[in-house]
Amino acid sequence: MNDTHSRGRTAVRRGAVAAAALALPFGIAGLAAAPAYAADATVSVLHGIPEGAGADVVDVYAGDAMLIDNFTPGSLETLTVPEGTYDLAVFADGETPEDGTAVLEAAGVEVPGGANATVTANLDADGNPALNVYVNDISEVAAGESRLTVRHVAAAPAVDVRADGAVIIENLVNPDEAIVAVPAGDYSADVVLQGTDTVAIGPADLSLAEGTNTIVYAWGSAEAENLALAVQVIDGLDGAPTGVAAGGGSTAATDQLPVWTAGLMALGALGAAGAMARVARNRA
Amino acid sequence: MRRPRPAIVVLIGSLVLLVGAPIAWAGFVASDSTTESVETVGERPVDSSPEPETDQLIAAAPQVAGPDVERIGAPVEPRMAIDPIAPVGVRIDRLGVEAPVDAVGVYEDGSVEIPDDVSRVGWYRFGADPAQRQGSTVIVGHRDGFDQGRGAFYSISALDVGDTIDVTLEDGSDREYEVVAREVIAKEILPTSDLFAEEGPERLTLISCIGYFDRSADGYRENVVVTAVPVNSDEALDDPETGGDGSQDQVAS
Repeated sequence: MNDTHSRGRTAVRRGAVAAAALALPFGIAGLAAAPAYAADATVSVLHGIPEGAGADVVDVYAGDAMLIDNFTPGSLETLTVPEGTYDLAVFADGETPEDGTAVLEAAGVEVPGGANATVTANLDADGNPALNVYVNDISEVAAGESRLTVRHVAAAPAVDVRADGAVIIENLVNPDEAIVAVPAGDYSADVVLQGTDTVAIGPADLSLAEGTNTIVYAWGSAEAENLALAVQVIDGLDGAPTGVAAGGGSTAATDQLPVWTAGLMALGALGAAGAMARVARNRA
Repeated sequence: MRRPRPAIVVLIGSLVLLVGAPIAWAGFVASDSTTESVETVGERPVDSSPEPETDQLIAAAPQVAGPDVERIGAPVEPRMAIDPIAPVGVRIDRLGVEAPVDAVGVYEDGSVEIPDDVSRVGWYRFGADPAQRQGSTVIVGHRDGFDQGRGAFYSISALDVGDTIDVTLEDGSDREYEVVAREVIAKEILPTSDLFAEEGPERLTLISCIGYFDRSADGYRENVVVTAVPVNSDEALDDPETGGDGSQDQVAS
């Protein structure tokens, strides 16, 4: 199994005006002129800020248009949006870009057509609200396998992730992610403090179906004792088997001489040798 | 009349044995149906459904009660999965084949697991099943064993367009299929993405091996693939007796 850590792209903190542009790695510079028919992207949004942290019920905007209404902690919604570059902003429920002050915002988030990404509103390692953008791996999964992605978006220290008691992801810190391929199946998973057996979250039953990417978010606050897991599943990624090798060969004819043929030939050779000797003697 | 010299007779007889035995054996090998080339008949159904539209108008999300706010983005509803119903038995009356079906996965090399008992066959459980009403339900079986004789699927290369295959499912129901294609394909170029597709026309695909058996390498060099469609589907022939449009090859069996 391979596991890779990569950083989530952390956006600006609460209340600050975003200056930096966030881009997905394969982002385009921007649409010169949006065609009437635009390619879509799939964007999921996770409300990973626990209750009592100042964002209990929020509305999420892209520019002046509302993306998600009445968004509550622990919710994850998936939308198709036209490709483009968006200024994302999170407002307290009922407030708008015209009359409200953003709780969180990130300007210039590039979303290419065909992309599959998740935006999280969560607490950073220090417990402050932050926005992160992750690209979801929707490449083909080998036959018989399942992809597991784990993202640490909690106000908590480094953790290990275990499946059926065995560590499969080590030393994951906020806001990193790790991706592993495991045989498809049902597992009991938990999250422990890094290098220990102290369970921080779980255990939880995880059904990792073949050909899917199961994305697990560890979110909440260790201090407030409300750490939890949120799960998102992307399916339809399964690859076909490599082939079918069906037969042990017991009924196959071979290129080796069978015993009976070899036996008759030996008989013939002996007979010929003997007869030729007799013929030679007769002529002598 | 001179008596023929016995030595000459023995010599001629011996030479006949020496030369004739391997020739007889070669003839025996040539008449073995495993090495006789099997023609492809029929045609697998193609996925003729239109490509999903990737270019779309900007979707409008449903309006919610309250201030008149412009919306962007359309919610993606999670796809409702249809619970699979596993095949548990397969019967091919024309060949006298009746075999239990086990659910199988893959080996470490990614190839399909096949039941070791050659009298049993395997349904690829990570692919389609008859409850999905689409895609290819794949059942694989050994042609023969290493130290067992002929497997349940030994003779599927004799199936012809129009033959029927019956599959019993775990809920007790039966599905009937009609053969539309039989192909022999070199193992390295087996079109796995198509044969194991979970979308597209609903079909039953039987796969085994055939052809030259390479003891020093990977065994049988070819796959035999039989494709069948649900009886009464559009792809099924109107009259299995006369054979549809009559343009398929007839194979002397």
